Amino acid sequence: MGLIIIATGSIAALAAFFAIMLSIAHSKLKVEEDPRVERLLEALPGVNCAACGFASCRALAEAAVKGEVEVGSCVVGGNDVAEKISRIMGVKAKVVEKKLAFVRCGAGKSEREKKAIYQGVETCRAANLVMGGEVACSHGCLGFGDCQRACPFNAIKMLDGLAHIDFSLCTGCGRCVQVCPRNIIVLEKFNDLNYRVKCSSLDKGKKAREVCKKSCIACGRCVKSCPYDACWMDNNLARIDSRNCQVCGICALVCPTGAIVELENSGKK
Amino acid sequence: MQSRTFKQGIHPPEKKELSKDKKIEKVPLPPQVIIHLSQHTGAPCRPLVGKGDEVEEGQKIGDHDAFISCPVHSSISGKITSIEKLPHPTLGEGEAILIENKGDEEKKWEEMETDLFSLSPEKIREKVREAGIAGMGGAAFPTHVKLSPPPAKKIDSIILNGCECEPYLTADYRVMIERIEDCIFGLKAIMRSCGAKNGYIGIENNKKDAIKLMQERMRNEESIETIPLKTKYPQGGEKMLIKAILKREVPSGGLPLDVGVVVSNVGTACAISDTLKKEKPLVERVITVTGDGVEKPSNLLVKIGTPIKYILKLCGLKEEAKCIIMGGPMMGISQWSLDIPVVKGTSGILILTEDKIEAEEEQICIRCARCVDHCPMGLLPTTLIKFIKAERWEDLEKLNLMDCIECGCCSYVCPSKIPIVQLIKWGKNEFHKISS
Repeated sequence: MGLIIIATGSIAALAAFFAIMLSIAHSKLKVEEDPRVERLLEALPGVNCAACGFASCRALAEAAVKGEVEVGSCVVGGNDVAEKISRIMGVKAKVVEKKLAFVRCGAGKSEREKKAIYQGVETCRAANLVMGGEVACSHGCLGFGDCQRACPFNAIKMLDGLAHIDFSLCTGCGRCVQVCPRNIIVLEKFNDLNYRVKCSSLDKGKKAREVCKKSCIACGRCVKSCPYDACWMDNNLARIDSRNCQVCGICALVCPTGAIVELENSGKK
Repeated sequence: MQSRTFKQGIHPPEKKELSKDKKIEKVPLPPQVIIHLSQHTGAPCRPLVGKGDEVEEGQKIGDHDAFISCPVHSSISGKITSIEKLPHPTLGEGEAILIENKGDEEKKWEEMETDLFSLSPEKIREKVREAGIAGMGGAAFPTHVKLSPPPAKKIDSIILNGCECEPYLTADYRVMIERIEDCIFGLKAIMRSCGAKNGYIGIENNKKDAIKLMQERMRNEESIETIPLKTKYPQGGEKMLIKAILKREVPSGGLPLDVGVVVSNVGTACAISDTLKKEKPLVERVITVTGDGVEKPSNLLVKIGTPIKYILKLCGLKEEAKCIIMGGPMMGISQWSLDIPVVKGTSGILILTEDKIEAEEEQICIRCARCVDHCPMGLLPTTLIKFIKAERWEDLEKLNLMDCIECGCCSYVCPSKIPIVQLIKWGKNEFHKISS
């Protein structure tokens, strides 16, 4: 019996001793933190996507409190978050332009030609270093899905070896743009309905056609038929100027290879 | 005498017997050459000629002002048909000048009496630069840069690399036997331009007759010594060569000139000799065409820019040929097109048949550390690939990733068939991106 009392008593004494030590440490060694950091963290999306250039949302919040970054730095959060942040920080909100990622290649595995057999590291960035692996086009999607793995929001799906972006999930953080070795993913402003050139080949028509069924062959029909002068040709590749585009869709109709496509941004936030 | 060597490394099958005894043959002029503007490490050249211009053999057609760069020359006389982006053996694609042969005879380069001691070191460097000489062992580093060590670095030894440790290749071996005088003249020129007192020629001991020939020739040369080396891959890597011959170790991130050494390939020495004796720029080189996929393995003297399609027509491409490699089997780069031309750094064309290609599926790393045991640079490939696969680029520097010479020993010994070198190349590329 005596043994139990001794054991319980000594454990209780130890517990009391540590409790006192901890409370002293808590009051003496306390680090003062700006209360706004906690509130900012609540306002931020909390995905730690690092699109702002900081490693985490907390790092951004700490920098924002110090006044090192602007309130609109969180591209993922967009206007809503920028407004909340500006309320917490007591500054005027700046309008953030919402952008979404867009893949400038439209050829799946079955539509693009193979030039070789590739047996190696199955990532786009490694394959691109050995002459692009098996894909004959030197500009198009390699199809190993580096962008899919990099996307923090699961917005990218690889279908038939081509990256597809779900606009309802895409936040425009730009991680996919950073990892794509062929630079075919771009961040663009989207309206409800858009026409876009789904190709980035700078090769001349004949060569582009040889390696891919869906490439822009620089025939210029879109340029000639566009009533609003929104289409133009740049280095063997058709481009559409979104400022002039009136979304009539003639370019997509006349394009012989189907390189110009209609995109519906149904999940617009 | 015991052959010297370095630690670790591997012993792949040599396979040199296919082309070892074939004399260097001259390839007839091709109907068209493709001269790439980037055939060396450093800034790519800018074209000095335009479409439709007539050029002569040996005429400079591209140059750049940057120090680490060297000009390119037309290798045949003819007319420029176009300047466009074409397949490149190492870069994938690059700007190139297409020259069509008009049917002119080859230019004769007259040999002149040359006294090396009448040429100042500066003059040698200038001539080497103007001749567009880049390292012909494979990396194609501009030679005039190697010959211009900073004044703070004293160069005492020059090593001529006659190892040719890559299996299959025999071009350097033939050059050493057939052009021994030019090799030695080139070595002396390098020694003079760097102010070095000692010259060494390192030869692997599987080339016994080359060693014997060199040793006999060196009897009356006081400052040059022939060193037989153990046959082991990668004995021809410059860091391994310095370690084996001089017992010096190049510091991490350093260059051979940090330990007072300049290493040069025997082919480069011959090109230097041609330039100084005949005023002839680098317009041709010796390559080995070999492998089980060719009917007539041979050593050929070809014009720079000759498409490999033309060369393979002469040597006979077998039907069962499956894989074309530019360079040797260990470090060479597999090609996808026959329109690719020979560039300054091409040491051979290797054609393999299906049964020689071992393409097994990659398995997980079993941490057997065979790669660690064989890495000649003493790196830890197991840890490196773990970090690369996790995309932790910033941590790679601590593991000395940049010291990897990409020799391929690790991939060769890996029982799980992990493409370690490709992963490391990717890691280097990403590391460059984040650090710039």
